[in-house]
Amino acid sequence: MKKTKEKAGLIGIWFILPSFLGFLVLFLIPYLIGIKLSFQNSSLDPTLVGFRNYILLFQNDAFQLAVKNTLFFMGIAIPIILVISFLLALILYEIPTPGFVKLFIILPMFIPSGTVAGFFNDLFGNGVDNLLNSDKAMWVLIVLFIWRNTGYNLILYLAGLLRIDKSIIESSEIDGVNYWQKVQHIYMPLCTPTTVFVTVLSIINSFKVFKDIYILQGPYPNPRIYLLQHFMTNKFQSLQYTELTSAAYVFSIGVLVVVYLLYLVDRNYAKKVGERR
Amino acid sequence: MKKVLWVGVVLLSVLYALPAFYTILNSFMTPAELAVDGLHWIPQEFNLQQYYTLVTDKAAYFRYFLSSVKITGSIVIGQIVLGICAAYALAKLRFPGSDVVLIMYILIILLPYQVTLVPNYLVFEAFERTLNLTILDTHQALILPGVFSTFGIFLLRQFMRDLPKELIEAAKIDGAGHLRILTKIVLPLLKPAIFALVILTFIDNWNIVDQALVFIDTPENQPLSVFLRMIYEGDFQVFYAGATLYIIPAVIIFIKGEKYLSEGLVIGGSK
Repeated sequence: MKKTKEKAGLIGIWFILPSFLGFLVLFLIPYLIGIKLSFQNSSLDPTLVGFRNYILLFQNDAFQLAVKNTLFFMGIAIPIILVISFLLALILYEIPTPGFVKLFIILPMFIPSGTVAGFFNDLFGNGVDNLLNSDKAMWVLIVLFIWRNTGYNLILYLAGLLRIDKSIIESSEIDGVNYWQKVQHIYMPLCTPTTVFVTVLSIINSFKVFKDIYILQGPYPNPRIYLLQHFMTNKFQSLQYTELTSAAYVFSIGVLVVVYLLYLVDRNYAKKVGERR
Repeated sequence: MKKVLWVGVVLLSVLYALPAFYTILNSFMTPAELAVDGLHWIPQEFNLQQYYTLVTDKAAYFRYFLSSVKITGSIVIGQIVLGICAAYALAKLRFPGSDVVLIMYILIILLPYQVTLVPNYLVFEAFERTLNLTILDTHQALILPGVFSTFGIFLLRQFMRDLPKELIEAAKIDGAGHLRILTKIVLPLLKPAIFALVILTFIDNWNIVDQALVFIDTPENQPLSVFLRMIYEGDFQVFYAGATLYIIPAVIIFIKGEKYLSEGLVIGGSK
């Protein structure tokens, strides 16, 4: 038994190897080398300055503001979009709807940022600046994010629901469970891997909402919607690479915590499903 | 209840699509009509002037279009091939350290491009210096990070993991090798997930702007998304025609593949 397991392990390495080599060369090695840059005096002056860049970063008002806004934005927008897209996927899964419905909901992700900006400008006229400069700006951002990305998550949830073995659903119907119990005990738990993936994806997509805002308001928007992406893009454009990389590593550590939590959720799921089989 | 939900969903979908309709309708308007303040939905007549100008004065548009097809197509194909193999290793074969690899792969997807831009740039520079391989300023600078993005691997792994073990075990007993199991058993069951991967990767890379601006200096080598941004800023009167053509490939892919999102999964007799 042990021997076959080891053999399978070696085969696994062959299957992962092509992607891992690319990952190593393009991302991992340069990423690790970049750590040194974050301890340097500047990108041209390699004198090591210890944690100075990190300390300056945490004292930076713009950075603090960006972190606060980004966390607020993600904390509200991501749970909302998860619920909306799961419910929509359930409805489309259960009720036959015209073919255009899915296409229409997905359309917002196809259109370029310029179109969004053009539509916004025509819709609000000169009011667009008033709106984005008001204290409701964050909510505009959240609505914009949900509108643009529901389709993305919807596709994944639909694929996730379709993957559930029909025989499980049928046998539960024979047992006479009601619809809500079915959602709670079959659809939701069996969609856990999809939910983990959709959460990761929503985090990535929440970074992209920045593009639409950037084209409307440029590098220094209303401070209420100044995000980490603004901070990092501005550092990039002013060639302040040491600041950029130290911000990037702080960001990575935050992300690592999230990834680890999701990994635990995912592993917990694997255990449960493993037990059932 | 079903009827109410049906009406609700249909109305909601129309609401979602409004800006896209707006783009298409506006692509038939003359510059004078576009200049009117406020929203303008219905063109006075179906005027093809924007498309005509695009073909005659902005013929470069179509060259950029082909560049984008090449870049995005390569990335989608690369991600599917690498993704299927790697996901199979992570979900089904497992190997020492596979969880660590998985966490690293998820981590790298979550980092925004502002973080990976500098490392990528440094690698490409090093390639040029040591191996004399020119990557910067060519399409490769967009294709390589796209192909090796771990997005597809993670997606497919999530969908592959709870395909019943029995299916694979049974195939093994029948003497099938891993490649055969992958192509004959796993892939057909993964159609919805592969379609999701195709459409999502296509969209992400079709819309690429910032990475292109950093890696590519020669304007002629830019993808369509960057050129469209220039039209938005410089020649707004043909922007909507450009944007309409820009949306079409994604719509076609979606319509072609949509059937995979309505096929349920039936694993005959495996349970």
